[in-house]
Amino acid sequence: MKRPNESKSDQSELEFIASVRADLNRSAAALDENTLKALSHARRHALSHRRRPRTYWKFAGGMALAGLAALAVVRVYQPAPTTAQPATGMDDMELLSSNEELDLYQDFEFYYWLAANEHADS
Amino acid sequence: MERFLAEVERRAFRIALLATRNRDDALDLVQDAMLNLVQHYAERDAPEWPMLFHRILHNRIMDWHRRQKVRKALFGWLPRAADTDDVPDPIAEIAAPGDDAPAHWLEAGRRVEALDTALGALPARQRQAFLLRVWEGFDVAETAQVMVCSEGSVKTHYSRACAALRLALEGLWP
Repeated sequence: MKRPNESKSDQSELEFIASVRADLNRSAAALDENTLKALSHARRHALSHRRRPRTYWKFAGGMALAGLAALAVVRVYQPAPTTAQPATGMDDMELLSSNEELDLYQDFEFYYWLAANEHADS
Repeated sequence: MERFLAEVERRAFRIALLATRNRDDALDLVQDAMLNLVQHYAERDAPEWPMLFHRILHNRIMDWHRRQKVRKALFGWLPRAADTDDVPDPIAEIAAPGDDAPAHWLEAGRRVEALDTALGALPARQRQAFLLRVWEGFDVAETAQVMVCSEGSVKTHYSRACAALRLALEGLWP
């Protein structure tokens, strides 16, 4: 437990430190114009020498992405398999988006339906 | 980084000026410290910059003191033409209040002058410990890292600095 004298001493020191800090701040705030300009110049000079971040990580990352993109393109444009496959929604989209007359495909729709039902029966 | 440097540059200059008592040397030391921080430590986290900057600055100040010692040892016997010009009054760097300034400004100016004199008279390590603790707000551990010494040494330097300053400034402060 602190004695009263020690508490007074601590308080006195705190006040002293606070006063010193205030006067130091005052002295920094009151620097002359030439010194402030020189400091500003020093700051700009230092910042102009900032090294650029290493770019090789960016380059490596970019190459990896390019490789993945190339792989995706190869997979998408692979030749279609020769075995007959059931009609899918994508096939319908192709038909609907084509400019050819749809009458020709009406029979095809029937044959698709027939093929699908034959599979179900078997 | 720019914001940090703009915020710290005035205090850094005052710290360097208190150590060197020479405006041009102080500016060189501050610029050197800024350059070193930007070139080598800009990629570190921002909270590390204050301690890194002050460590660099204080290393530069200690290097300056060592060079001055060597210089004095080698050339101290040579007469210097304008000795007083090399040690300008640091208070001259502070914009002087006008003749019609209120009394409290004049009193504050006298206190700052007395404070500068008292701080300049301290041994370098005591002054470092005091300014880092009181002005930069570093705790004991952080100050020890900046000064590259033990926490016990920081406490010793700091308490001795406080005692010397209170004695020198008796009557001006509480």
